Amino acid sequence: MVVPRPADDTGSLQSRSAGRWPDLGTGYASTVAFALPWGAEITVENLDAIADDGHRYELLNGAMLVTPAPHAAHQVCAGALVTTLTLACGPQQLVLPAPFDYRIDDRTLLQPDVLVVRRSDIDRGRLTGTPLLVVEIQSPSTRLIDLNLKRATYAGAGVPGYWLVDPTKPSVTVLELEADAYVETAKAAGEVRLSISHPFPVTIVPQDLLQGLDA
Amino acid sequence: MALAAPPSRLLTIEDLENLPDDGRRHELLDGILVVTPSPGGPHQVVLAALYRALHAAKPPGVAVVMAPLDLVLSPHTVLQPDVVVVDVAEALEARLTRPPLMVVEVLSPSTRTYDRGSKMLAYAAAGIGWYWIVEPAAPVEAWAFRLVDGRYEQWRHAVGAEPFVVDQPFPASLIPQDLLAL
Repeated sequence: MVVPRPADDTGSLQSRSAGRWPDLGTGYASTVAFALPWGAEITVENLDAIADDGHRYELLNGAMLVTPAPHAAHQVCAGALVTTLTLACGPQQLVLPAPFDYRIDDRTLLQPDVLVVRRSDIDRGRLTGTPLLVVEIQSPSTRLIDLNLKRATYAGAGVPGYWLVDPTKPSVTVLELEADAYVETAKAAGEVRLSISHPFPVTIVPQDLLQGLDA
Repeated sequence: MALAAPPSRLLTIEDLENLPDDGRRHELLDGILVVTPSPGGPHQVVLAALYRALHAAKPPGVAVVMAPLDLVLSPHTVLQPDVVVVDVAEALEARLTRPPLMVVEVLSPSTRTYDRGSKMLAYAAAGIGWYWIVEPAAPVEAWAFRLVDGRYEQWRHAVGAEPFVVDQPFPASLIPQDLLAL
């Protein structure tokens, strides 16, 4: 049950100035929730207006997903991957960490943890084509969504490669698009070296992604 | 002043309770907030017809309850199925804290993938024995799934004028296209 709140009790940006991050969904509550017609679908354009409350806001076929801020192991893996991929990619590609908008259509906008794109697909700071690779680093809260909803969405968008990283093992699973669906083509955990050839040759050792951190 | 990074924590029902009542559906799936728009006409017409059919067919001791009703499957998963079939003893609770006998979802454009995907997996993981999905756009289609070894298996399916007949969790039958009859 949701409880109606008085209009002046959004508790959003005031809390931030007091040194406390606002509660979940405050960014949405204080901007879009009542600016749009009651109950109306939130669109890709509306996401831009949502105040930054420290959470990730994404849209999937008109359903808005609000994900908590990631923890250290997640961020350490993200950093290691961006570094490794940047060193391995060629001059025609760019490696982008989150948050970066991957807008699939008017009702779907995701912010993958890492994107590899063609340099020529970046136009005035926005992605105009399909990424070459999308990487999602799993947290306990994103498992079902990454493994299921996002997998189906990236496949439908024709993204050729999708990697899933589990920092708790640590492991990396490589999925490649065949016809309309992803097929697992490689998987490694711990110290096992994963030699990957798409979108460019790169070697990943899952354990190294943690950079010495206990996950 | 530099702020420390926001605390990373899975979202809970308390977070849901702090959200504004803005006409949208707010659910939690493994600590992620999912916000979907209020449903349109066909969804609501079909939902009402389903509710009437299930309510008429139910045996004593069982209640049929329509959304919105919070189904708390874990501290971080709180869903609002369109219809739940529960034991009478639980039907008047403010929120359901135990898996009901059956849940029903009527699809809408923004929930189609979710109701057939992650949400369906969440219901299965919670051990809910029966799950119906109904597509309200003509010719109207209905699926019944039953839980077998922790996964849903398609058990009944009917479209348009075909009869949709079940005998679990209690005998019930309907014609999908009649759900949209006004």
